[in-house]
Amino acid sequence: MKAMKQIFSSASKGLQISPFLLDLDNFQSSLGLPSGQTRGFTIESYFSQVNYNYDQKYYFSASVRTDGSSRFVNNKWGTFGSIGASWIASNEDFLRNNKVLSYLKFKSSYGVTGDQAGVGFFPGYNTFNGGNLAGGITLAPGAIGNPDITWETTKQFQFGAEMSFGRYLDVNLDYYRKFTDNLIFDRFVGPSQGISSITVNDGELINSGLEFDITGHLINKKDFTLDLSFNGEIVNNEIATMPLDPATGLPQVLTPNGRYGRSAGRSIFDFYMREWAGVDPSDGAPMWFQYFDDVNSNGVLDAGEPSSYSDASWVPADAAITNNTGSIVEYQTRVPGANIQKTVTKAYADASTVFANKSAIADVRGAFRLSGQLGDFNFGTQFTYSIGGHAYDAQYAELMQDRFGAVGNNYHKDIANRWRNPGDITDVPLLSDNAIVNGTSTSTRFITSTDFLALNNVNIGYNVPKEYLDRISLKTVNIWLAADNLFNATARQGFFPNTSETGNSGRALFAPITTMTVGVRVKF
Amino acid sequence: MNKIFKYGLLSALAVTMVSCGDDFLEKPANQGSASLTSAQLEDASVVDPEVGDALMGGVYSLTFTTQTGGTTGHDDFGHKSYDIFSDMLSSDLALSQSVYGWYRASITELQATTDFTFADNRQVWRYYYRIVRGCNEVIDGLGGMDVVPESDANKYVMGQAKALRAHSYYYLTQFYQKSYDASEEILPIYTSALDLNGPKVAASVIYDLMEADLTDAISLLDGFTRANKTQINKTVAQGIYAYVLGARGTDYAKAYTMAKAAMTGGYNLMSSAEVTGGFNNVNTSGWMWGVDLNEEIGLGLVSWWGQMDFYSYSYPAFGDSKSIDAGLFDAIPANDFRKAQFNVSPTTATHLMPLNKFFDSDRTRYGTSQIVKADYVYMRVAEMHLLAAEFAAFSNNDGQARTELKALVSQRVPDASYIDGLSGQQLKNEIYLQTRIELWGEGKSYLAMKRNKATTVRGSNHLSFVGEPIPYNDERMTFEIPEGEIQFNPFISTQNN
Repeated sequence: MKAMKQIFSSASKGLQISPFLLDLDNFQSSLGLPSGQTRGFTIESYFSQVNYNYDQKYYFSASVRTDGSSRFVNNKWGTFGSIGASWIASNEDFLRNNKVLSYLKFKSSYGVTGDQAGVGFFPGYNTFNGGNLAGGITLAPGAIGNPDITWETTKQFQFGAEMSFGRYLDVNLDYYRKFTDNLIFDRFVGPSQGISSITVNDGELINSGLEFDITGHLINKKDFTLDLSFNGEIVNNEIATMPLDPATGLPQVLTPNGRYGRSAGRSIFDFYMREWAGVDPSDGAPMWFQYFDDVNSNGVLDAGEPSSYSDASWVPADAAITNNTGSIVEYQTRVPGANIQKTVTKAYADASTVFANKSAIADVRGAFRLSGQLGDFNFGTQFTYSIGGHAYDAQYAELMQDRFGAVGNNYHKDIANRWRNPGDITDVPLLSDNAIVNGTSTSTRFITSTDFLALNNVNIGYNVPKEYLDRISLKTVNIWLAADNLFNATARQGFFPNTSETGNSGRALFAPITTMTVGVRVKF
Repeated sequence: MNKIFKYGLLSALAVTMVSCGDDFLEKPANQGSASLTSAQLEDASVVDPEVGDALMGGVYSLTFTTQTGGTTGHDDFGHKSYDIFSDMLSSDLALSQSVYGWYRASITELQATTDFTFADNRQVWRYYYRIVRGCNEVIDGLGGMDVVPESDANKYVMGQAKALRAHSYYYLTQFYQKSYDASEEILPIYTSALDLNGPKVAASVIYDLMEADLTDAISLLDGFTRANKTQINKTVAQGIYAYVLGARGTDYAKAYTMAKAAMTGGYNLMSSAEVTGGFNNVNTSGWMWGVDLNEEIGLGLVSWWGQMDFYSYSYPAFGDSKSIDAGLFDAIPANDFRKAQFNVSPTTATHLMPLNKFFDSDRTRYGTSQIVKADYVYMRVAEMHLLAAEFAAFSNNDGQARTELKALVSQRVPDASYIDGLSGQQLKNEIYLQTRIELWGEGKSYLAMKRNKATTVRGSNHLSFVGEPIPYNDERMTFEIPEGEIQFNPFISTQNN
């Protein structure tokens, strides 16, 4: 059983007497209402586990657990379990003392797990915010709850192998495939319903991946060792089934979710936004692509051809066909064989929101380490890397924003490249005292590669040889230097995709701090 | 005290029940501060009208709560936010100097109203539909819109909910349709909080619902004595109905009757002294509907006062000058008491700002406190006089129109007899001008512009479109259905005309 409770109290005051006192009584003007609240959750769990091994060769394990969570109203309890088996083949007679393959183990497991995180504390209840109006209480509608929300379940299959080749190479490989249904997520609704989203269980998601960890003991001598290890993961994420739209009773074809779009067969991290088309050299205006169905195949957008007009988005010519999401994605499924072309537009609203065919998920990411020892010196390094992913550099976008001239605004130095005179070829639109504000609105302009190579850690140590220590009656003296975050090579200086889960930048995300520490450890 | 006692009891029962059952997993939801559930409240409202009252009060509280438009913007503070939007759209409220950028590109440069990706489109839509849903929850809790509650207390709650729902739909029709066109499909309609996203329906359907709601409300609120001026009583419902009928424009005789009926609540027109007295006290006799803001409500910079008043902790005090359109100011006669509402200081940032119309009672620049204590006005009886005059003129009943108009204007200028010489279009023009002057900065000018099918020309003290005539039905004068509605509501994929 576990319980968590958070108690908040806050008051804000100004008009200080002494600049040195932090007590509330030192401040003589209230800046807002004091407030306080309590919130928390409880979880009750029962579990059991069985482990069995036969002759150090065959291992079996099984577990079952049941959990109840206060976060859910109608369906609090979920039952989950797993079974696993492994086989140490190198302990079999036919491999025992094999010179090449010194260790070999296979392992596999299957399990069902539950997740309740990310739903807040009271997702099952409609909540009300109390207030005081002319001396009477008021109860204003707050969050909309869903009493049926319950555990998200994931069925996970795993297979892996661990092997060592002689004394020189260790290889670990793991493959997994997770199938999640009853996905907990916020389903957006048209805000005319008076709410913007409701938390539900629906939809199916597949995550699969391959993880590898390879260590080579390159040099292994008494006074000199050198190890190189290299690990990484290759991840795939795919929506198997989209949630139902209760208003139509059918699975949703597409749901935009911030900068991403969700659609069956795609990842939840596929960018979905307007496509940047650069800057018009004649007037410095930002441009985007507008896709359209070139019905008469003349290569240009004619009046009446379906497109992403702000006043009628992707309405099929045939009135019998509906496009519920008003998106190109659904249009193409409803109107097969549509002749989709694109043209540039300076009207952001008319530009088409499309899948950018870029994902936040990297092709591969991981770390490698080089460590070793030479005489009385030892050293270790750790690098991390990521290749093939993309993120939205929102902080850069903010710094490129035209906020009514320079008052109160900082710019990125790239603003110096802005369009100024007809004929200027640049990717940075003009500054127009905000007459054109959409240049920095969400578009593929700010999708940036998350490829990076970072040196996370370096440490070097030196043990003063014993022959010197004996003379001064010390047991050990160890001098060391450790340095963290020495460099971080990314697509843009100041953009650190490794500081957030999606890689996207924004305010209040801080660059990794570079630190260096020198130390001496002495034992008497 | 009675309400507090009853609520205290309700919470205590819930907690006791849990501790008896010792149900570990029920504890957080019952002990947390934000734990009152709809089920508890709906059950309770059937037997306890105080709960229905508190729920209705909650919906009223949303009308002046920040972020109700779904943004964290400092222009998002409930109904009065949209009074500023509409006053700026009408051009009567000029942004004369902009330091912080609020309203500038989106509203005063009319960018949002032609680009559905601008957040302001969603903010207006989100806010009024939030109120509709809030009202629907109250109505559902009383058994649904077709039920006439048995107790008087519940009748009054039902009446208020229906009237406020109509009020929100009214603003949606104004902001999202150029002018009344019965068959144009303009808005989705929701009459219960259980309703899911639906398609746009014809304007006539929305107007029919507003009329039915207001007819019911006027009947249900008969005999209701309100506890405070934030509650809608019968005359306020009649006032809303007058606006709705005026916008529909199909029955000016009935509209006139409504405006006249709404005057009968014992209100007095604000005197010549009161109109330069700050507009900060809900107890002013000329106010029909408003909110008594105070320390318990605790609004600050993010409020109508924070955006409009030089004498509050506010944007105008720090250089975001919002002033009367210079052309409209020039149209106010020199001997009109209302001319003095505006500061004349041509070389300064405060030129034509309403320094003597709207002000916090302490009258200290930047405010004496960051907490707003000046009140909100939602409706005044002067509006009813002007509406009655307008509707009489639209009914070609010039004599009646002159009488109604004179009742107001005679309290603003030394001699209102010039009105006797007006008729026809001249008279209508004068009524419209008086509406713009009398109600400047109160969120009524845009509504009047639409009723009068007027064109405004921005004066010299605007930052954009100076001298450009903008007609009421210009594409830039109505908001766009927000992008999110088109994306997430499966039944809507087109803008209105």
